[in-house]
Amino acid sequence: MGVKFSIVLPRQPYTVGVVRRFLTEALRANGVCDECRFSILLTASEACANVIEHGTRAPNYEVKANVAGGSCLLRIVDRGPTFDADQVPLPDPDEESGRGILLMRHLSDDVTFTSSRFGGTTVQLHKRLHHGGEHSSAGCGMDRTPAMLC
Amino acid sequence: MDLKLDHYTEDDTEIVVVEGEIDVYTAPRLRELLIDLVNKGNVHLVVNMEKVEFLDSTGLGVLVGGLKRVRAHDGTLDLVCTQERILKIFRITGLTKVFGIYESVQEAIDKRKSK
Repeated sequence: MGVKFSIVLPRQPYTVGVVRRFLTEALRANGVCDECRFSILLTASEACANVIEHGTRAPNYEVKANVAGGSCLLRIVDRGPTFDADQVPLPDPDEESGRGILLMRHLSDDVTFTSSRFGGTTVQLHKRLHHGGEHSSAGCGMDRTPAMLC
Repeated sequence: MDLKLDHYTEDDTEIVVVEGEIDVYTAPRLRELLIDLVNKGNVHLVVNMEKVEFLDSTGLGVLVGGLKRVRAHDGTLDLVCTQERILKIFRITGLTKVFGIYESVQEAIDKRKSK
């Protein structure tokens, strides 16, 4: 069973938890293992937090999710200032910020940051739900009957 | 979403108990508590993260900020965490080399005193 949704949220910190609630239910409904689920929730939170902290000018942002066919594809779209993710340096150990992109890149199978010529950025996060042998035993992905249908 | 914070004194160490989710919305409350504790003279802190369900980079930043603050007073900030999913975040970001991370509050206190 695939789950697809799109939500527009005010650019407020509390909405990051709202996004996690939506995603949690979508991922649970698809029998996604705890490890993949946690990675997806974390990368989504990082992308949303970036919008909230740096997306000045934009009152809203949008989260599009498509969980189906053994993969989870998220797009976080904002209309704030553009930035070049490749120019964001790795943080020094005593820096208090700057670790979000590192976590997104490490925990996703693919991450792209696309700037619009009209302003704004789309962060696309892709996660394969069956990721090698390590997750198979946990019943991650489409081979498992979704918990809500048991 | 919820974040519960508590703290108590054990020996000369202030134990901060964190429960729930630490993210861009809730992390400022943890930052305020750490600042308040240090301002009141508590420079040896142990943050017990055993009941943390979610942690993002904002939360990491708050902990790093707390560490810098106590170090400015020759203090310490150690963590208690045995949850693999949380430990993984510290490993990815290289912060396992920055924080002392222990399996229990008592171990954290004993290690500091033995240094």
